Amino acid sequence: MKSPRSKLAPIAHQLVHGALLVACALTGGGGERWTDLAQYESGRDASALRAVDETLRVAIREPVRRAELERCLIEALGAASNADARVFLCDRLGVIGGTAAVSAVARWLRSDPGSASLALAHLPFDAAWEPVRAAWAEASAAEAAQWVGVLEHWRDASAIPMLVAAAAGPDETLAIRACAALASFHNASAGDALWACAHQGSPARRTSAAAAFLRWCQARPRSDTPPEVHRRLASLLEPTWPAFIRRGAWSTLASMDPDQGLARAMQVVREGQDPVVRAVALARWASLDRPDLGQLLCSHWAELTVPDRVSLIQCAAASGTVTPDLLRQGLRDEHAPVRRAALRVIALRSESALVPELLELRQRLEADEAAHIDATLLELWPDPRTDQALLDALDHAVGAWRAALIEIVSRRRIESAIPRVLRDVNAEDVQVAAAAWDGLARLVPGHLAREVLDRILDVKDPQVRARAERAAGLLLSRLPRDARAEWLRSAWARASDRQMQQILVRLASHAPTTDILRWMEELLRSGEPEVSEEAARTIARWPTADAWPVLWSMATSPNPRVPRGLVVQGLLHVARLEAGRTGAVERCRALASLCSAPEERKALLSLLAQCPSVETLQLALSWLDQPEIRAEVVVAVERIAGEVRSRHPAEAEAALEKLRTMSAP
Amino acid sequence: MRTNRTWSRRAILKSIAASAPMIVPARVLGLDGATPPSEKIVLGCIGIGPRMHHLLPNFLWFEDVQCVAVADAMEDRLREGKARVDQHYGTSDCRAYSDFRELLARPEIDAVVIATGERWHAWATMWAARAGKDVYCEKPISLTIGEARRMVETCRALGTVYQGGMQRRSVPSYRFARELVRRGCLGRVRRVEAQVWEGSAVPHAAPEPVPPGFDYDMWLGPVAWRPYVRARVAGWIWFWDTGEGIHSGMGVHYTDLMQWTLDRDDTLPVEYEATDLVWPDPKRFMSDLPLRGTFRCRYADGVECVLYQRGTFAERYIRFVGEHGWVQVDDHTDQVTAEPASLLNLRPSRSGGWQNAGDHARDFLDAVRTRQRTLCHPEAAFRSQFICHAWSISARLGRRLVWDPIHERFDCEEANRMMYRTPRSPWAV
Repeated sequence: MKSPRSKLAPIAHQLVHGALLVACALTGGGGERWTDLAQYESGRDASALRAVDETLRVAIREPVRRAELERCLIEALGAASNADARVFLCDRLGVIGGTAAVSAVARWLRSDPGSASLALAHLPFDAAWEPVRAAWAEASAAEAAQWVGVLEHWRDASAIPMLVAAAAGPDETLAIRACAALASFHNASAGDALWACAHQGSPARRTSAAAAFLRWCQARPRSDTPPEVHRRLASLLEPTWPAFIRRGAWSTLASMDPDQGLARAMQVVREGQDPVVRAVALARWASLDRPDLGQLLCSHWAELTVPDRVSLIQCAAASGTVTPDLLRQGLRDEHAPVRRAALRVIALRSESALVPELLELRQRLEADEAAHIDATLLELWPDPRTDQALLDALDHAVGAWRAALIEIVSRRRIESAIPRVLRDVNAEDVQVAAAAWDGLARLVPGHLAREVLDRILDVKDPQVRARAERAAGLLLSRLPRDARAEWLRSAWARASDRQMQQILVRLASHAPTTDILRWMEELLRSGEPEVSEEAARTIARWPTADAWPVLWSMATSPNPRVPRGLVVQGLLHVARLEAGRTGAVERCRALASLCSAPEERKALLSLLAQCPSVETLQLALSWLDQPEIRAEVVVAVERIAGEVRSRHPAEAEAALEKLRTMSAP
Repeated sequence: MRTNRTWSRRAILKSIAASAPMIVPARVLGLDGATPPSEKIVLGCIGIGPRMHHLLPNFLWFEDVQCVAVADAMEDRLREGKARVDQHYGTSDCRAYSDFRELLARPEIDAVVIATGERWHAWATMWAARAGKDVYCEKPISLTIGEARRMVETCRALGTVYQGGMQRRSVPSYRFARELVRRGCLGRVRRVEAQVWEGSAVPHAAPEPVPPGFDYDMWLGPVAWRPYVRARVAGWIWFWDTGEGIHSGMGVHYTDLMQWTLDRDDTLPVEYEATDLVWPDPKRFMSDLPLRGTFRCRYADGVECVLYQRGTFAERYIRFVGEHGWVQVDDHTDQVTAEPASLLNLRPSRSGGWQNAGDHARDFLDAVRTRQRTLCHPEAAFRSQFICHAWSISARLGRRLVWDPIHERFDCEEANRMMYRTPRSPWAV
């Protein structure tokens, strides 16, 4: 059965169409798109809606168009047959609607209060108040709860009696909503009503009213707060109220004090009252914007518990009121959590002025806490005073402290520390010497690298040599290629023992010139066995394709000193470096002829997958009948076929078909 | 196995309750040196969709936090969320609620993390504050200026600890950029430039029945009721009713960085303008927010900000341009570049990208204990969000807006009306 509304729809449609055509003529749009406005719902063409928005942009500057658009929207709302249309029309009427829109919107107050409220809240109060007031008397609690948002937005005192009645009424949801709305009214009567509600009804309602009362208090001008409000707020500190009400009441009272709550906070801290209030009081105390705050907090330091001290430092930092005095006090504290809190703030705020204290404290602490200071020193913003303080400390430091300082100055990139650190590369203390090499690797620029590299030849301790080798690798990479090769040759001539020669051979991969590669070949043939094997390893991880012919000749003319596996590994490594370049397929083909063991073929299949072409596809397929590597073949073929499909669809499909055939039961 | 069983809220709660744990690990009792339960911050999560799945680990990671409940209007998300929390603790203790008000009614919960979508953010924050909970709320923190202002008032009145989810305030690369600006390394900053990615459009789709296991009315919450359309729910960010698009969804990170870096948390720009807007074709698409556009604002002292909505997800950045140079952070790679490049040598050796909200979460958790001000406190979050709301209004009205900070009004009556939308009952508080 059709509803009365749907029977009227065609008539309404025509009416709206007529009205909208006027707007259309004014705006120059196409008439047809407007006709769907009143019956718009999701899924339909939205051109009419967007046309309204376009018109609205013009209409806000032109009163004639504005009136016409408003009239069109009113007419459309009168015939709006579904929620989508009503939401849209009410929302736009809320933007440009005037007195004329009130009755059209008010028509939906009962049947679609949500949409109606969207517009009503913004329509002129003088015209819109009466329909709402009249409907309120008859309204259900749910409808009234919806209109509360409108009354709250209007903030007209006429609505207070209605809201007060609702706040004290039988419906819990409406009452709580009304309490929240009353908090937005600045009148004393709203506050009185909220206070009364805070003492009657269910606990939920009482709490809601108390929360709303706090919001009402906060919105009042501070100078205009009568003593009665102070008394009421003080009574909300009773432990019978929930913690958040006590917190809110204390904060509100503090904000009304002439000293912003300082005396009140100090009293709470001294007398150790309610822990909930105590936390808020400490936070308030620490956040007060006073020039004497640091001194004030320090003078009461002894009265505070350890958690209080931590809280004060954190709160002052979060509020931006922390001072160097307070942080110094924190650093001197006998309790580690307090020192830790101060350190965290020093790092976050980059308090360079406290570096001397940090350095002094660092020497007195256990390793665990010392690490926190080191991290803090690293975090500090670059500053010449900080750098100088660290260098001065380095001049006198010994042992683990010296090693830690070398790490700090090098991580902070203090280049003026280089001469000091260089003195330690052969230190008797292995920890210091190792830290010196690590530090130099971070600090030394290319133009000083050679001088530092020469010092590696004097290192005797194996542990330090390992660190020096790592550092030398990094330093070499900062030199021009030719200079690297030249240094290696000259260092070789000065190397005093076999281990140092091995180190230099390993470093050769950082100087990948043709000359050095040839030198490695020579060592491979004529060097001592250990050196020769090291040379083979260096060639196997050579960073350029130049090593291919050398490795290939090693593979085809086996040398008993060089393991075959190493050579194949080297060839695969070079082929991988060149995977996307010319000659990649040829290299793969050559490797296919060389690789016979299943493990070698597996490695080659992974390389083939990185070189997608018809040739590599065929190569991979040719091993499909080998059960030990079939899984790898399938993966490689699928990947290559996927890559070449767009250019060679027939070959790719044939390969995949072959896979399917082979895997069929 | 999929069945045609209809999941009611009661049914899911019953099934979850039935699987209550019999064994409590020692860790939970604080018997192995861990934080004892009485000192843990007990957490609830409201809105357990994709964003919360990124956010949650940043809280669970902390040993002094115990997440005990999740809430969502979608039952499948609720199940996944509960499973995720339970998996972390190795228990089945986490409770699941389809109505977040039941979660808020649990007195032992100290704080909530809210990630629902902006239609709910401000209102859910107010519900939580009124239940005595502290709040970490995802951005955008509100749908309108009016509700954001009301949220700030509520948090202030009740002493609620609130952290806006603009976590870039806690990310080292942005902190570094801020230090360069604050220490004057760029000279006086004249312009801030940022870019978010191009928006999306949602094709027309007809209403359909609400699927079982989805409390659509709760999902809509305070926004106007409309018939259920799946595409509208999935793409809520692209509809004026429920979102503001990407210039707010992501742009608020940049307006927040701008406010924070320039030390303007307590003030606002005075002019706002949205230009070069490209809207979706209404014949094909039902979404009604711009796909591309340029959003500008200007502070009273002449500093300008421009946010471009264009390009791809990976191309987002923010750049601070001063008299003597600039610094830029590329959000996708977390890479900092600067002119002169030597400024980069000043950077401390810490790392960590925008995905890491751990420091931001820690700041919030510390504040829950100490009641200290959070890094993105309500007033700061409100102002960062305000800029995006003002841009949205400018875009919809097609005009430049001037803000009067004394009277808190725009120079345009229609814009003032757009600052507030009456919330739908009973979801407003």
